[in-house]
Amino acid sequence: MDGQPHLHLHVLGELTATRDGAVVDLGGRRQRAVLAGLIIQRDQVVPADRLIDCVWGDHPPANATGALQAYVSHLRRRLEPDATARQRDGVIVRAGPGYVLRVPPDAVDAWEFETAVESASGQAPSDAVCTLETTLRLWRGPAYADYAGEAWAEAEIGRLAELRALARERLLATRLDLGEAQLVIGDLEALVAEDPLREERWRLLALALYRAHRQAAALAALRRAREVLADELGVDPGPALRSLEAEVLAQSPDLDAPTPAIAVAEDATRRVPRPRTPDGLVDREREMAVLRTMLEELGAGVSGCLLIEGPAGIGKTRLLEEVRRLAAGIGVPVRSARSSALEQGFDFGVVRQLFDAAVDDVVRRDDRFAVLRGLWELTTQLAETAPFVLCVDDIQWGDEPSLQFLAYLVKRLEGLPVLVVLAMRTGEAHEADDLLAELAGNESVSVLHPAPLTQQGTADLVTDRLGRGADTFVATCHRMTSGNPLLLRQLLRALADQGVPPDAAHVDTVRAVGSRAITSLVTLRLRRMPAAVTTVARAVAVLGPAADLVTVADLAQHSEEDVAAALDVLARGEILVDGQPLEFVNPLVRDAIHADIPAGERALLHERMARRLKSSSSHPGHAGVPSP
Amino acid sequence: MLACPAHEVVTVPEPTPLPTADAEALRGLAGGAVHLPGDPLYDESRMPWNLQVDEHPAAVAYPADAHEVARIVRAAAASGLRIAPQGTGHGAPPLAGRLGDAVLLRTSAMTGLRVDAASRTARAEAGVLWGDVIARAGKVGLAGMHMSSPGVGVVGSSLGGGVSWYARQHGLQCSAITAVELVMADGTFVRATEDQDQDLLWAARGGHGGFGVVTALEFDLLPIRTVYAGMLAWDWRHARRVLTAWGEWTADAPESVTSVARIFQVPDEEWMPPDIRGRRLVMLDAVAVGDAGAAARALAPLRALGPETDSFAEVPAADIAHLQLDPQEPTAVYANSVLVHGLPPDAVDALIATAGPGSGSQLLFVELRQLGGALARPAPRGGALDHLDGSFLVLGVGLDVGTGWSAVREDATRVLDSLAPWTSRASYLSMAYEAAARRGWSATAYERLDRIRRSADPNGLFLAPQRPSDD
Repeated sequence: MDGQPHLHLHVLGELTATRDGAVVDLGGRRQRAVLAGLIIQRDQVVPADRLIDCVWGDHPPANATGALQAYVSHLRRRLEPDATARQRDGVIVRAGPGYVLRVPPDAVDAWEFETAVESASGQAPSDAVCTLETTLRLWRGPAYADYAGEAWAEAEIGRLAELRALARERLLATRLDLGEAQLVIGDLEALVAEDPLREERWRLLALALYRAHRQAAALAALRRAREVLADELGVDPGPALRSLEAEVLAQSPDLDAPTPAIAVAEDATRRVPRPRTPDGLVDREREMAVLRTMLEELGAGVSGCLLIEGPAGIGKTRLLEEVRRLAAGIGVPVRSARSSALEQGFDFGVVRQLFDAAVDDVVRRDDRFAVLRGLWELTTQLAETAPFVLCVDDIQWGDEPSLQFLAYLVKRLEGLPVLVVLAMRTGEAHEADDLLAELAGNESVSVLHPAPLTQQGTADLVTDRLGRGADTFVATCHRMTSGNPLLLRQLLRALADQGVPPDAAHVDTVRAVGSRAITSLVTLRLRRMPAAVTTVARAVAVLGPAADLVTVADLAQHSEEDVAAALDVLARGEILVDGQPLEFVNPLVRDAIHADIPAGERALLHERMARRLKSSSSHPGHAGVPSP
Repeated sequence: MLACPAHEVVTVPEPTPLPTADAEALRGLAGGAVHLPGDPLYDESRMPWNLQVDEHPAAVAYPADAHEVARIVRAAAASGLRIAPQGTGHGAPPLAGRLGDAVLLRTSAMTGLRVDAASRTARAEAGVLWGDVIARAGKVGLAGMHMSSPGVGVVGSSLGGGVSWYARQHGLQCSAITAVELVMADGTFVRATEDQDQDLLWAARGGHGGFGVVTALEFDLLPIRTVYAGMLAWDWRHARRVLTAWGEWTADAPESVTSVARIFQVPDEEWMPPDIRGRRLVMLDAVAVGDAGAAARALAPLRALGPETDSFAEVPAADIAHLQLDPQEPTAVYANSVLVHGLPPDAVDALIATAGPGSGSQLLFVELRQLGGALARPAPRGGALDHLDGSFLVLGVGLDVGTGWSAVREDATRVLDSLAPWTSRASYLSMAYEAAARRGWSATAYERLDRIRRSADPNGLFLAPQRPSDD
């Protein structure tokens, strides 16, 4: 916008405006009604009579036209404070018998929302999920919330509500097609409960239950739909529900999730996590620019190595996720590994995660140099087929032989279309310090140090989680967390769990919750969740990298459905990463939960795990039982 | 001292001498949310909502649940420190000068709130604010007997009585309490109800605390979805005419209406609506429950007085949370009040002479809150405070406008003293920080409270929030 101030009008919730991120005081309810009336008509001229109707309804004052002009002039002054009075006609323009709003299409959240929902229908499923999740976050409450029940706003409020309902259904339908049946059931239940007369919601719920191997529950849902429709409307279910019922009974293969069109080729055995949507990534423009450039260069065959360094919780893992997301966007395969303190003694653990069984023979060679050479050759072969990315998180806990390989590889990257991205936690002493220093000191390695979030970035995250925050509320959140994204997210989740609104009256709540240590904040949140969720989180913490749905269910002694629901709660609560494999958002969170397990329960969990490992052969590629 | 078993001596137990106070033992409790002098967060966490109070407690702690409270209580007792529970600190002034050897136990992290629509009850932990209850209960068509500011804490205001917009029909909020959960001086938990520990429930109903740390309250909600509410405003030169008419009107106003009159010198500040910033007004706010038509008829005589602003309408009950425009940000304020019987023209004259045009008063506002109705009758489930003895609560509130707190105090005292001929012997302690504690309750209630307090807390571990009797 070439230095023009960015004006944003928000109507998905109460009517508010921001100018370059700062809240604009739009004045009283009546004055704002003028703006609302103009936004609703988009780029049409709104006659003054109609605006008067918006403001005063059936009881306009004697000099309504004059009063309306006064409101318009006040609004102009607020929306364009820099212009002189004569020039203040760029946003609200006088036209014929009335006024018209002149703002770009992305200046109004409702317009932006509408465009995004339309564009999602033409996108590939994973992109559509991204688009819909992002755009649904624009909603802060019912549209034009301050004018609910006003005749002039009713149609638009209804239209936007319908559009949102549709977007939410499409989002879950798309996730369902991406194979996330277990994970969307909870959301679908909630959608159905909200509006049990929308048949599409029942259809999706029944389908999700069916795909989650819960046929009885699927049929029960269809029965419930039939009852509700009969009771409330006196009608039978429509054709979509009827045919679904028949197909469920017939166990029709048509009901299975579509197989992904993109060939997963050699990685077919490993579940590829859906790249997460870029929600709430703030203050990382510079880092993202670096990632984009390096990936573009990789596409052109140029190698690279990037080290992301920083303290716990600063957002290194998140940037690795962005690497995966960006790579997926341009069709570049990514091989990922994450070191953990529990597996540090396990030789070539990281390498195995990166290359799977393909390296089994190589790492068995006796001579270390021969192994390194073999791994390098393997990398070269893979790169000949297509450029690819190697991502390793938490290399400070990497096993020594794997780190040796990474150091070896980084020195010989030139000419190889491979991008190596490493994340390393700083501020602690590590066993393989010399190797890490060698990696970090290599002059071909670029280094990123993600900075703490700014106050504005904090404000954006507060808005995302709790709604627009009062200045003192945001400032206190920022100060309490020193801008550390992990702390901030955990703090905001804790506040959101308790329904704390981000207003000035709740500043001391931020202080109270935010002055806890991160470990106690996490355990406090977990204690407030249902008991089954706590048990599942503890089981995941005990299992470490070996955790998967079946094993967790076994250890926690809950049904797989209950565990899936609990995992969903934990992912939503930002305790676990959303997706596969099961991982905590940060090793600190895992440690906090693990340390908080009562001794008796911990012993029990470890014993169950030991039994399980004995009865089935242990997971290849994992170190086995982590010590408590 | 020799033991004298032959005599039945009833004595007040002597407080055990306190060991040397040291708050270091509290470190690490409450998940690390304990701040000692010199700690980075000490200064901001010790400041209450009312910034006029500037105390330096031995420590500030933010426990998140009753277990953490119990650990702090035990650690404080073992370290020779006292405990002063505090929510938002709206009612902090009586603690001034008494916190040096105390742990300020702030309840802001205890934010659990449950609203049960079927039984029309709520359970609020000690950090819950009225705004939270209003929002949550409003969603299921219920209302709580909340204070005029949504930023006030539920527990503190309820323990002190609680005069809500529904008070003339439904009495004091404290009489709606059905259960109180406390951590006692020995660190044990008590849940007092009508069936067990009735004394503590009775004391919680208007006794102001000092028996333990109240961690949660349960109380009844009202099935009120919408109310007829609004505000009328005139320039303050109309104060005499408006207040006289309002005084007459209150004499036989229906109990379904609760109203407040104010002489308001609106500050020219951001937190005030732009159209009244910097103005001097006389205002009438009222909330009526029940049939909107009947409410409109009842309020018609006031609306006929020709206000320049009239916002009366039928609105969702939750909308009245901000009717009174109280500041949400921490603010330094001075407040004091008296209860008066009646508002005859002479009383209006006295009020205008001390607070109206030409009086020289710098007070932010002088408020006359209409009492009577259910507030005047002992509540069927009443506790320590079961009614208010007066037909109006007159409250003077001032900010420091640069002339110092003593000037503000003088202004308020002049107003309240001018009403001496009509002033009740009783005081509403939640808003009368300088009144003697004895005036807060009937003589029998005062004695009983004292007994309960001494038996629950024989060593005086807890600082009672109201000023110790100087009578």
